[in-house]
Amino acid sequence: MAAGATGTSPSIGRVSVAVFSVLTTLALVVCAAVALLASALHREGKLLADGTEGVTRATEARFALSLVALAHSDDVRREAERHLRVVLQEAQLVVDTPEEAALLERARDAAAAFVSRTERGEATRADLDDARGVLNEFVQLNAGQAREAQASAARWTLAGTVLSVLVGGAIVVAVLVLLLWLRREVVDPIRRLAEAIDRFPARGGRAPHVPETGALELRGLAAHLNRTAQALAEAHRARLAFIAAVAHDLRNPLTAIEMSVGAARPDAPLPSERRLRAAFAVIERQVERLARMAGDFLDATRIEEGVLELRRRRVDLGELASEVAKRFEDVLPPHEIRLTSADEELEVDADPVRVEQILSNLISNIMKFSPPGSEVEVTTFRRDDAVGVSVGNRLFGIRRDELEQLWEPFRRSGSSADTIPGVGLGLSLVRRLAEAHGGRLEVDSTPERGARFTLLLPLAPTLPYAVRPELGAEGGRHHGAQHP
Amino acid sequence: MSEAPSRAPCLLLAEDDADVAEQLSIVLEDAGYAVKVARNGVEALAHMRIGPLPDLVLTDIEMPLLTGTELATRMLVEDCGREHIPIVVLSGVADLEAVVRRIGTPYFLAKPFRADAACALVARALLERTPPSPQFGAPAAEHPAGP
Repeated sequence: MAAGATGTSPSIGRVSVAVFSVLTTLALVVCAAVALLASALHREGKLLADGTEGVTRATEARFALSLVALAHSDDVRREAERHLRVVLQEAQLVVDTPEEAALLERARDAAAAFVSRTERGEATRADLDDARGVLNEFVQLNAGQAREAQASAARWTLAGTVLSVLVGGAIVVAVLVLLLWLRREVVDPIRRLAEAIDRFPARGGRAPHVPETGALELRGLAAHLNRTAQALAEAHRARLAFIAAVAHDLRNPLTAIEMSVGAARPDAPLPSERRLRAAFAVIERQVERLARMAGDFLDATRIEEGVLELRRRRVDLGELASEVAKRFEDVLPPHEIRLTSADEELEVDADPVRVEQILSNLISNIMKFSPPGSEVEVTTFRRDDAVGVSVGNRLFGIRRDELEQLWEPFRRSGSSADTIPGVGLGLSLVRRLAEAHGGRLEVDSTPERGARFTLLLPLAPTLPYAVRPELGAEGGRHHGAQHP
Repeated sequence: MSEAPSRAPCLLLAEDDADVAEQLSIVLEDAGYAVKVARNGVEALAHMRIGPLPDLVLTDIEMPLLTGTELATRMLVEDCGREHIPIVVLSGVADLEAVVRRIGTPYFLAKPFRADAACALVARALLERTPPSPQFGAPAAEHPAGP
């Protein structure tokens, strides 16, 4: 199988139309040829029959003439004369050409002249020969006509045979070409597609690649399969990376607990009470951290599946930001958190728990990449119809590769901020949360100017003062059922 | 380099997890070592630049600002005697053996580990004092053939 023109093979649809057109044309040609052949053979058959009949009648007429000449009695002669007339009249029925008609006329005249002369007793041998000569000419003419019709019928038969052989051959060749094309451009590619699908899911994270060959439709199908396989392999890799990241993040708390438990080994004397208390404090913190990770893990799964339920409520974004910032005051290593609030109320219809998770994640990420003691800025503001919180530092940008890690959930955090919920979600899920609120997340990091994350949420619609309850009209509608 | 120190051996621990750093340094101090803690690679380098050189560096791999792998490279590149300090890698990364091969140190421990295992490894490293010999050009994400 040469792979010569596989890349430009036409579509199955186009080939089907072409094959159908060719077959239809051939069928029409065959039908027309059969009709033409039938009518020609019919015509030649009639000519052949007429010729034969003409010869017979002329021969009979000749015989009747001889009988008229040789008859001994009047009865016999009259019977012979009557037979002669009948035969000549019958001969009139098989006349096909004017030449034949003229000849028959002449024969009739000659025969009539001979009969009348015989009746009068004046007939001579020459009169008889004259009439027989004309009849002989008529026989010759009809015999020639019959031979010609036979030859013509033979020619038509030959033409029909040649045509059938040609059409039959063309059909056989067309079917062979079609079968070969189908095998090379349809069956083989389908088999390769099936094999590729069988090889799925790929081992070692490598997606199977189907060569994009064959008919147009199959090339499209192969390309589609390749894209799907690639996407699935990537999703598979991402899932494995997610699990690896979770496993990795479990190791630090487990190490801290292991070290702390080591303080009270059964085979060693107990350390001082201060040391024991410190160890237990670490164990408590790390258990809290594991519990928080379990919560974040569940949240991450829900956000990923898109089944996270938002319990929206009208809240002030500035207040939320200041609460979250306060939580980071005791976090180690220490940073100076500078909160700058907008002068106005920044009301949003949002799920406060989720917004707190977003802000915790942003603050902890910025803290992670700012040296201890440096300043972390938390600024709330209003921009047109949106309100926002930006979290950033002024000097310490996050490198591109580090930033990429931040998008994945459960990439290492490693500070005591780990005990604050939402920290492990990863920027991609944080962005998903922001988008679920109708907002968005902006990330800006340059090595010289520092790093900055900005959460933007739509400003809650202003309601007339009199009907402005604790819950906003929009948020309250969904909210009533969820918060009894 | 091989003079027997009469003082307690000095260890520099680069670990960004505060609780792990605290508990491990207590364990090591109990074992008779002097421990200095750095929260990332940058801090660890700063300690080595301003203070006396430690006898041993213990480092995590994934740390902000400067990772353990980068720290090892910088110690080698700056070439001020720091390149002869043995490095003990303590990490929970999945491809720990590949990372360790790149750094070129024979001393490593996967998290989570027991306190006595860490002490034993530190004691062994201080006895042998094999400095790292990195394999340059080693494939970045190669899977180790065996343990």
